[in-house]
Amino acid sequence: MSRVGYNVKQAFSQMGRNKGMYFTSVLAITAMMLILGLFFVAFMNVNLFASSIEKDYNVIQIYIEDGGSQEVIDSVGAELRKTKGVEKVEFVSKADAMESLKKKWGDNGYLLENLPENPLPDSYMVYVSDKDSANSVAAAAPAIKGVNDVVYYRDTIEKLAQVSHFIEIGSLVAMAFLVIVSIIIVANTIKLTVFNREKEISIMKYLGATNWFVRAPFIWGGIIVGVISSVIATGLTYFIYTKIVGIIGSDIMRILSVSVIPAEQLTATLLAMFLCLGIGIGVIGSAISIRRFLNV
Amino acid sequence: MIVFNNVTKKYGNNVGLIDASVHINNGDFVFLVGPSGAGKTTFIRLILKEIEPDSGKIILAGKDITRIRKSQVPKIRQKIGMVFQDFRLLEKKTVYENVAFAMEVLHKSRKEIKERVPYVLELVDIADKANRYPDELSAGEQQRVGIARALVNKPRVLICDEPTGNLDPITAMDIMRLLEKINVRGTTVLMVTHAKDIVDKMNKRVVAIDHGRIVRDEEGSYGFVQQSEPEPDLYVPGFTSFLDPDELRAVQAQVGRNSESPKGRTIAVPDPVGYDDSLVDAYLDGGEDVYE
Repeated sequence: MSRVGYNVKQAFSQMGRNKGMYFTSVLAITAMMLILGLFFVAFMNVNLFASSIEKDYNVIQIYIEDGGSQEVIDSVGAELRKTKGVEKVEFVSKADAMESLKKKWGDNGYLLENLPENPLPDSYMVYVSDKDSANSVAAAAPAIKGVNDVVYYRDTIEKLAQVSHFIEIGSLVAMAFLVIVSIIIVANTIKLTVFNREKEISIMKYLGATNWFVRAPFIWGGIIVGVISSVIATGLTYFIYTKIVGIIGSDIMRILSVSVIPAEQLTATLLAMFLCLGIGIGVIGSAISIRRFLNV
Repeated sequence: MIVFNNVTKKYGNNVGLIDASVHINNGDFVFLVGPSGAGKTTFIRLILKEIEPDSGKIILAGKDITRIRKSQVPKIRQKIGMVFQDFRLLEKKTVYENVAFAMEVLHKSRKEIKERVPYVLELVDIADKANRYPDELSAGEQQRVGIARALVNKPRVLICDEPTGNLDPITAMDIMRLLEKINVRGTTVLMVTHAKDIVDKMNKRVVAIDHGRIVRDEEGSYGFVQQSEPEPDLYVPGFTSFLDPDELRAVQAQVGRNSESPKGRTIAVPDPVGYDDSLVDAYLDGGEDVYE
């Protein structure tokens, strides 16, 4: 029998003798991974949203007061062109705005067909050269007569960046904490197994077994726990994510005009991430717990 | 070959071994005797490289094991077969599996294991119980399994740590005969023991340790005054050797009369086949535990 085969067989027989503890370990690590997984998919989506609107950072949208006359529209345009740092000013009529919104909504565009009147205002798209000009234009624009509202995506981008940063930090802290907890759980599980086999291990040492021979089945046990947890956690994350997307995905699409990342696309990444994590936890946990038993 | 050259090992203020020099040749049969705490265990642990000496050299099979790396320890132990007082068999494995386990540990192939294990079981005369579990065996049989396990990887040295300590005198003698047989086949045997009667009877080389020092190293007898080991009140070790029939009858008479003797007295008798059954009956009538 090959060494790996022998060790894996030993690992399974050990797990069989300590079913309860191993089950608890799998449960705990799966729960940890599930939390991480949900953080991860949230993070990915916020990032996607942030990057999809980031390209608009140099555009400021200036809305004209509802029912503003052509005169007002022209004067606002002239004011804007005079402002320092402005590169280009583009007029977007009510009708143009409606057209582009319909385009954005795609299949849902028909919902806009039967509106009694076009609710969208006339607006100017002001293109600026850099961030500083953008800030100054955004600050100055509301003072121009006839301007109703200034929408500047930079604010949104910054807020989003803050959110994604927060999620990032949150998941890192959660991950560090949960990884430590998982390692402790695995270490204790394996320690119990080691206790059960203390006599066997001391005999093995007297028979001239190498440390690796003694260690291998325990490490394999840790790896198996990690792999099982990873697969379950990936499945659960997929399930929960598709449920959430099913419930609110189309709302997000409508409100933010951004689609969420398809679950299929995330699954492979999640599984790879969980496997690395799970195997790492298993190996470290078992190595820790068996260390002191090797000095016979 | 085991050589100790001026080996000293102290545990804080406690003495383990002081300036000990011993030369054990291949094929020797050596008893290591001495009172509890004299340094016998230290001696063994040094050979197994479980502990390191403070000074001195220890040479095993031509290598100075005080100078080899920790990672090489398994290599040393593979050259040594260990036999323990408490047998240390794995209860969940059969006799065969216990012995095969020693080979699995060294990554021996299944084919090698299949060939070697039955041979060794035959050698120690336990082949008929290969599929039994340790708790189905008598103490003597368990020790045979322990010896088989120690021998299966063809060690150069067999180290026996009080191998007869848990055995009645008759069984102990059987085990001694087995060890002698193994020694005659070429394996060096180093046996730690308290059993004066065994040492005296075997008439082999005796290394005596006391308070960490080697106090005597010569052929012959135990030498020490017997320590107060827990022993039967009446001690009849292998009476064909130690008691002649007349003495035996004297014991019988004594026991027969002493019918209200306290419980727990133990008298060992050999296989009563060929002897007067009434002797055993007399012991039993006398309130003694008789085991064969």
